[in-house]
Amino acid sequence: MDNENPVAADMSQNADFVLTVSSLVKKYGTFTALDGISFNLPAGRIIGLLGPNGSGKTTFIKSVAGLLTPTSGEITVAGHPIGVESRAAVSYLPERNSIPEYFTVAQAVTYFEDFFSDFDRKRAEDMLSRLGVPGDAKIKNLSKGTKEKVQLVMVMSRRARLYLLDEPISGVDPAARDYIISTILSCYSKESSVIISTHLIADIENVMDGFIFIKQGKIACIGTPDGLMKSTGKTVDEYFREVFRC
Amino acid sequence: MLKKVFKYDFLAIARVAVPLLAVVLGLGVLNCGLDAILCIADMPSNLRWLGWIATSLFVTSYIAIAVLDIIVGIQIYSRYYKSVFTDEGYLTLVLPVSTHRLLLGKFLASSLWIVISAAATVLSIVVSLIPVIAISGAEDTMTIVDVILSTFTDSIKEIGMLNFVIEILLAVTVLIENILIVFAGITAGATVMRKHRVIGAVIFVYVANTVQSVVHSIIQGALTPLLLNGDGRMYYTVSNIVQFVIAAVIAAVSYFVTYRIVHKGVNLE
Repeated sequence: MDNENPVAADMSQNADFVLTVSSLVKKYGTFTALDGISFNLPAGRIIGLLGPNGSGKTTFIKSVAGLLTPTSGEITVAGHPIGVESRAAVSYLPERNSIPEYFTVAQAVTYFEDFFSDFDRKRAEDMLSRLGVPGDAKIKNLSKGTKEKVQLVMVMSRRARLYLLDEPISGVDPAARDYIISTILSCYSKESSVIISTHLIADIENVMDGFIFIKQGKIACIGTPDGLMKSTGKTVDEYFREVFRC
Repeated sequence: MLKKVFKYDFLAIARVAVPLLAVVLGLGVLNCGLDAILCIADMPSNLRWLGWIATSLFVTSYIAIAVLDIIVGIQIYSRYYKSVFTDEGYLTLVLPVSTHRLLLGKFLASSLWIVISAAATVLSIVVSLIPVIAISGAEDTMTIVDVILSTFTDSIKEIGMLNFVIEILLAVTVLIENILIVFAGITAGATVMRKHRVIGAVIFVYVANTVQSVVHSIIQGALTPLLLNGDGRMYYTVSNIVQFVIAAVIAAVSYFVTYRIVHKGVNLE
């Protein structure tokens, strides 16, 4: 494939990157989870962070979210190093439900509004209303799929600069996947970017502006779906299977 | 942000603590009634069984109060554990709040609930003693109050106002020390034993408390010659000051350990 790099395509033209990652290394004892990741992400992009289980996707996402401290390297989000300001600019959707189970949905909305100044309460309430989730419903009483949707609503109701979505469509039915993807598309803006970590490539291929393959903690490939199709005649899903063939 | 962290932690603990402490106060009211039965001077012989039941229930309810207090304490610390080391941590640890404010907010909420819990227990005991005070008669009540007050003022005169102030500072510092040592134990244990976080937290809290007790005991032992030399007041003053310093140091070390681990990042997987 050609060397088109949508992630840094505007490097010469756009010095305002939402995310800059420089030589990011994360080690757990002797195990290296991330091994020298570097790239810059401009605003207005939806990027698929693709790789098999254990490739380092979640470790990368957590490092940018501020959950993990890198062993070495630098990360900046909207110009801020990882810290209070960067966490204010990042909206993070973890793989698991992180909203306290004893909250009601209304309490969760208030919690997000209290802590995140960019949280749009009206947008959240509109989306919850369309989902048919009442405000007095307890999180613990919701089904797994509904919990995930509620959490997604909270995350996407923020007007963040960077959305980090860790496996948002794993373990949900196809209809829910469609809902999740349409919510992502409707909520992000040109001033922000989205990184979606997944191994279900076919579902997000049509919405990605670009992709990053991550393999054993290193970037294996960066490209665009269109560029890939032009140069190899393959979809991202097909190319992924080729690159990561067991 | 500190106020918000405090507010949500305080309310989260309240969910569990309020019903439990309501039961503690209810037991105080129950004991008040049982006490009234026990205070009957001339119980008819055919109703003596009532006295036996009242005594049994009286003792049982005090045990229940103690158990409930322990449960409230466990709930207070488990809130810290759940908000940081379970799936809730994915939200708590990405809040736009500095690690200092996050830990301080949780510490303040825990401290306040420990004080509220202690106050509720004392109130429960006082309520249970109302029949004793009432039956002893108004004049005796005044005497009882006078006795308590005069004992208090005599104690201050005996130990000196300086020692009294040091005692207050020591009590507050020991409270802070105890809370922070549990936080540190939970944090270190849950981090070291990631696959068995709860067990790790319990083990490390036990070890931390043991180390704390040993340090305090060694210091106390080192000061014994002062007491043996007959200088009781000097021993009392020096002992309290030294214990205050030790408690402050242990509290600071505990906070540092907790801060370092949480700030560096908790691997929640």
